[in-house]
Amino acid sequence: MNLAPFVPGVDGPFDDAAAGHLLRSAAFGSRPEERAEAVSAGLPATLDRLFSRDEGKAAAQLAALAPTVSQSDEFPRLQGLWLGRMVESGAPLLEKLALFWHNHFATSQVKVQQNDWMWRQYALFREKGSGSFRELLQAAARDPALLVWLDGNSNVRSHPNENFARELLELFSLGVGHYSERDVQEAARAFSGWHVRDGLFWRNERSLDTGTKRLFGVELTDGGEVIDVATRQAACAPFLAGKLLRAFVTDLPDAAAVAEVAAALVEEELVVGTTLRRLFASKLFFATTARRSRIAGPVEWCVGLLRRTRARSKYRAVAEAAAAMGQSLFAPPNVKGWEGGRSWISSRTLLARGRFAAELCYGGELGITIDWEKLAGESARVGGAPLVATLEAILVDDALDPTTRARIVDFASSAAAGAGTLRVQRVAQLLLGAPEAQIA
Amino acid sequence: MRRSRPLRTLLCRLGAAAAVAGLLSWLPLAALAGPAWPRLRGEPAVVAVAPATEVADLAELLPEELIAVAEARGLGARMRDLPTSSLKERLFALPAWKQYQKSPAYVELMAGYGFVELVGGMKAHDLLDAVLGEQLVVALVTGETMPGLVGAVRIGDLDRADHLMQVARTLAAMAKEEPPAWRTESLGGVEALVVREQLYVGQVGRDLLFASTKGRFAELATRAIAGVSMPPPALVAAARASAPQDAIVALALDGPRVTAISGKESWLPVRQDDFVGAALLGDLFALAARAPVVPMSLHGSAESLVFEVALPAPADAPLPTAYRGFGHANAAQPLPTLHPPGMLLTWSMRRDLAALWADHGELCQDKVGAELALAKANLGIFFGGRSLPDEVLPALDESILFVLSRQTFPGVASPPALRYPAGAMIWQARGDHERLGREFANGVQMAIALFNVDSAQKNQAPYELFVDAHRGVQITGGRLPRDDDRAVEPERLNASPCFARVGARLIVASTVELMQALIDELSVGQMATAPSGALTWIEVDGRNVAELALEDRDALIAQATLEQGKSLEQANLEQAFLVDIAREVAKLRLSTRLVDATLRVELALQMVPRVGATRPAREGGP
Amino acid sequence: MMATRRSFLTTALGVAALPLLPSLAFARAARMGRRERRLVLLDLAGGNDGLNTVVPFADPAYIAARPTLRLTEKELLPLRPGLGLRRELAALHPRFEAGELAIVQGVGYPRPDRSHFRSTDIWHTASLTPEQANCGWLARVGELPEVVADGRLPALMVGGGSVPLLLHGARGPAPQVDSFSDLEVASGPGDGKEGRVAAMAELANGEGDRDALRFLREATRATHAQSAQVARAAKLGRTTASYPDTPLGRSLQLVAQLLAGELDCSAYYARQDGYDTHAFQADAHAFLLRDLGDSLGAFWADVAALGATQEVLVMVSSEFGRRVAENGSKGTDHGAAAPLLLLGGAVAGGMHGPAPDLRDLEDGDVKYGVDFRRVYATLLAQWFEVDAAAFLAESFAPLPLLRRRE
Repeated sequence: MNLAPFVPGVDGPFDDAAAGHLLRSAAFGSRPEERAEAVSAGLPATLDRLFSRDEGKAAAQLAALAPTVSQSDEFPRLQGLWLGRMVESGAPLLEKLALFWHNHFATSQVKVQQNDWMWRQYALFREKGSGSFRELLQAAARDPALLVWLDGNSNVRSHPNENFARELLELFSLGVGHYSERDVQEAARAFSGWHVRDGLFWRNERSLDTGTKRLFGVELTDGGEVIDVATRQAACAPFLAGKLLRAFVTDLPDAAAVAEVAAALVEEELVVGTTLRRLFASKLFFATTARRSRIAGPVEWCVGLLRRTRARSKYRAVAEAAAAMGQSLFAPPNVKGWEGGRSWISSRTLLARGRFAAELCYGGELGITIDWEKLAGESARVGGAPLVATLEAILVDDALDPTTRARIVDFASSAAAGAGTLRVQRVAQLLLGAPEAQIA
Repeated sequence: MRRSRPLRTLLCRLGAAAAVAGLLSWLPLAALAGPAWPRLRGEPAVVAVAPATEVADLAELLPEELIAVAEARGLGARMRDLPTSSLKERLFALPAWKQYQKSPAYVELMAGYGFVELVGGMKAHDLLDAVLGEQLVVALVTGETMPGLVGAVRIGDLDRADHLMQVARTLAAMAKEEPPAWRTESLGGVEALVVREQLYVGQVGRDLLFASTKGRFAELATRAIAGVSMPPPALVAAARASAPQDAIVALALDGPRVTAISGKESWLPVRQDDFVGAALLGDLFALAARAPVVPMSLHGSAESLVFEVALPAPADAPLPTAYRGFGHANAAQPLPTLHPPGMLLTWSMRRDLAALWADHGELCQDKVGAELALAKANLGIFFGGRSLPDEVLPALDESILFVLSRQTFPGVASPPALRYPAGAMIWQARGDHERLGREFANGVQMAIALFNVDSAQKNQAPYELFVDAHRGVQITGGRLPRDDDRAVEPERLNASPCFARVGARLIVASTVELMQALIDELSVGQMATAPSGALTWIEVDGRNVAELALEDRDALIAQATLEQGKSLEQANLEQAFLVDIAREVAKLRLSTRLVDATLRVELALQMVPRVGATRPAREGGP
Repeated sequence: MMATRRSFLTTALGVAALPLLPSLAFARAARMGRRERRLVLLDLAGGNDGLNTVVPFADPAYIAARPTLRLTEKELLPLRPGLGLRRELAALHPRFEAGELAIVQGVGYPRPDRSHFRSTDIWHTASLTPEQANCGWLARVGELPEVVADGRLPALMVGGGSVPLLLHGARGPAPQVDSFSDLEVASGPGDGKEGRVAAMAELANGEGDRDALRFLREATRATHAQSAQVARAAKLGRTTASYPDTPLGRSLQLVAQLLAGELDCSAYYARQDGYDTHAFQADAHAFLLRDLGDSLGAFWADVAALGATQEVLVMVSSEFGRRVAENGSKGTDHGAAAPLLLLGGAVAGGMHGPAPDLRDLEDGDVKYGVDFRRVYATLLAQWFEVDAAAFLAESFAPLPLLRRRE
């Protein structure tokens, strides 16, 4: 069977490490007590909770500010609003999936310019992100922000603009090599007249090409049919499977893993939520090689650390810090979105991560406040290995390589670390500067 | 930064000292509760030293080398009559306060409050009433490395004073710290309680003495025990001389000494960082920086509170000429203030902008010169090639009025979440005001045209130029076409920038609505006049500020959570407090007036009059 | 899981994207090679009034066009008969006389665009259709291994503001420093910063065989090396000249300090804002030019003190000049061609390019006599020693702006 279930006790324990891996993948990481809770609740109950849509009062209240914030000329506030919701949400998977689809459709406010349209597109991803991929694609193809992003309004019968149709096939459903130029031209005709008017999708009858088109050997007329046909192509499921694996499990998925997830997607009729749930419950997911094989993206990294430390912060400023690390929310660099994985890392972005870590530990312009001494509890007084163990569990689960851990313990036991709160802060900063701390 | 360190350390110390002093001041309430003092744990009672003769005036105990001093007499008894007590009642009646009472912060506060009551063995809520007793003096004095703090409180009677000292010892003994937070030492004949080597507290008769250094404490103690009468320090005399009879608190600063501890040439900047700062506050700073003594006072009644600073401004004060030009040298009146509907702020002042600009080299830092040259280049375009500093500003009288008011959004389907206020500037023309009026009108049209060029690039609707009349006054400006769906951005501001001239008054307003209201007011002629000699007259209407804050609620909360890092709960609470408190403020006034060769700076708070003793409950009711 | 060939390629590219800096300071003796040359580009943003910078004071057409803004001979420093340099640029005049300053007159391009943004992009992409280019010419040069050795810093923007298209390459924008802390590894408060940074760098030397971890260790090592190099350059670098206390002065002092500290970086970019002088230009323009002259003069004094005049080349340009006739507000509006300055020991000093003919205007603007891409072609061929044709849509013959190298 594809995505064979992971049976705790038989295939390995569902212990702190396993729960940590699950919560790093399906959420933004966890605090030690959340892992303990997950372990005692067991895998199925933990998955139930992860797939709940109850985000809690704080996140909902924050999201209710969206109409106000959309009006502001200050686009970074909108970024901060989403980032804040990720931090406060009781349903982090919902946000993580929205982030996944945001990267998939890779629409940028820089071209769209309308904050409220961007927020509406994000709301669409939240609402339909775990449902059928086909339905999501149908809805996205009618999304005003996406249509503006891909020049939908200039696709008219007399002069078909291929931008939207090409990206639909290349970036949204099949990938390069799985369609012909002829398919692109035919699809472009089918989408002619899919325009935006007054901020809403508008089927512009005057621009519609009502003639018959032939795509992948199928005769059709309407753009909606293009999506149906494209998502039934054999290349669709593996294409989506690879993206899901890279976003949620590993930067370098192998062909067998892609094939397994693709098969599951087909079995689930492209319903993403149920497929993901099977993935998160699978042997493949809990395999040792699948763990710690994904570099955390900037937003995931910042949000995770803020959640782990229960920090208050200026969300807008944090969103801008994440942008400095290479991920500006609602503003991916191009139609392909963020490449992710290793391309997150350069000396520029590592220095930016280091600055964020320093802000997290000592406070500063991001307004981050954390009671480090309280966070570290009894180990704050002791220093040394106990302090490192406590901070590791809070900040990075069990990420550290033994050699790295030994070096940090050396520091935490030395006079250079100082004492009291300052020692906790310094050890935390050192820990976050470790290469391991960038890996989810 | 290095230079300000002594000052900062000092402030920390003062904070610590104030905390202890504050604690002390809460305690003697028990005196009112009855003679039976609870027996305190810890130290055995120390018998207080009695003075030879009690000094008549606590200020006599203070050394001469004062940097700053504050004195309050009979404060406890007076607190009841002041708006602070009515403020407290008002505060407790606010819906936001009730919300606050449910928060963890409140629980913590109450725990501290309870602790004080427990240790003090008395109810705390009337405390200010009793404590501040007869006389309180606190002063900052010069020291070897950094300034020190000295002060004394005269308590109602000896029993209460004894009790207080004992409470202080008990509190000190309860702190478990390594090394111990306190010790005792005999200084100047008094057994002093030394807290963290930073605060010395002792008792002579019914007077409690405190100082931040050993030497200063010994000095206080010796004088108190000797009880020899001598004149109070000059700074105290200066504070008393300037304060009104009914002052609640009288204060004074010694300029040269403050300058000495600031480590700079002058404790206030003599040359300002920017032109606006120089124009608004430059004269105040210049006078204060040169004043040998700056006396201040706080006085008030049940519905108002006034803080006043008196700066000596003799006719021969060495002020830059530009500052003398706008009123220091003549007695002209400022423009009457205007109060359009929804008025948030009205600001009348006398400033000779042309003279200020010409003298910027003397008034501002060097870099301002380059900024002004650029400003001249950038703004010149609006005045048809006439130079702003050399030709336009000299044609304006020094009387300037600035008005801010709430906006309504007539005809706008969905008003913006953040409603900016509308604003207007009013100048008085000198000489040919018709010509100047035409130039201003042209300038406004030019500005709108330039703005339109920018809008066109952003695909936003351009303003349509118009010339209208209201009560026979011609209004020139631009407004947005209502039917243009590109209008989103400017519509948000609801702006219709315009110009009108009413007699010699030149008005530039951000909306036609405000312009019409101002013309109405000017035509009716019922304007409030600022008192003679006023250089600055600012009034803020708290109730309109509250309404605006209410309209902008979501935007303010978004600002607080996204930009300032506050939790939603906290942001909501703060916003509610802002609205509730602003509602109680009928008028906040800041004025500077030149009276009898003294520049009086006055900050006055006028509360909304209270109807009846208790306020009807807001929620519920019949 | 096995890595696919494609993902292997991504990995390799990812590593290459890191500017890995060798820790060895380069040897002075080797400096003459093209990899050791440093270009400093300075933009006068807003459109500098070229006619009032390099002034044809005796030209009756100039006198007529500038009733209030014209400058007379006594306000100028002599360049050649009838032509003078603004006195505010006095600090640069000795360099002109010493043959280290080249003034190229009438630099522009066909069908001049009068939008600040588009014209800036045209200059920065070296393309008349900048919409079709998403990389700056300088960034592209920096991607050539023969110009910038693997791991060296191709370019650095110095000062505030956004990083311009000029410095956007295939790997994103060049780093920007407003102060040294921007390139410093954050170390937190208290003494012993160096020890803590060293402890952090040490963490990159751990073992373990996980793929992602190996990659991150390599990246972390490179980052610490680069940061250390900038820190060392900042620490070693001393400047002696006195700079104006302006953004430009601070930027150029920073460049001088990094040059003195031997930072291995081949180009620096700085910007001076404020040249959009539509009204009452006289005072503002004078302030800007004095700032420019004094900052650049101080910078060159530092370069000379380093003995690096042969290795450093400064180019000063603006997105366009201004209208020949002044407007009714005692200012000037957006124009076209304008003079460009080149400063350096390798420069063939003196006047270059045809003098603008003020009686033969195009829409009231000076016609360009030298296409700016011809200046670029010269720098590409003779400074960077690369094939200019790869960067420019057309072929341009180099100008004799640089001295022939032995």
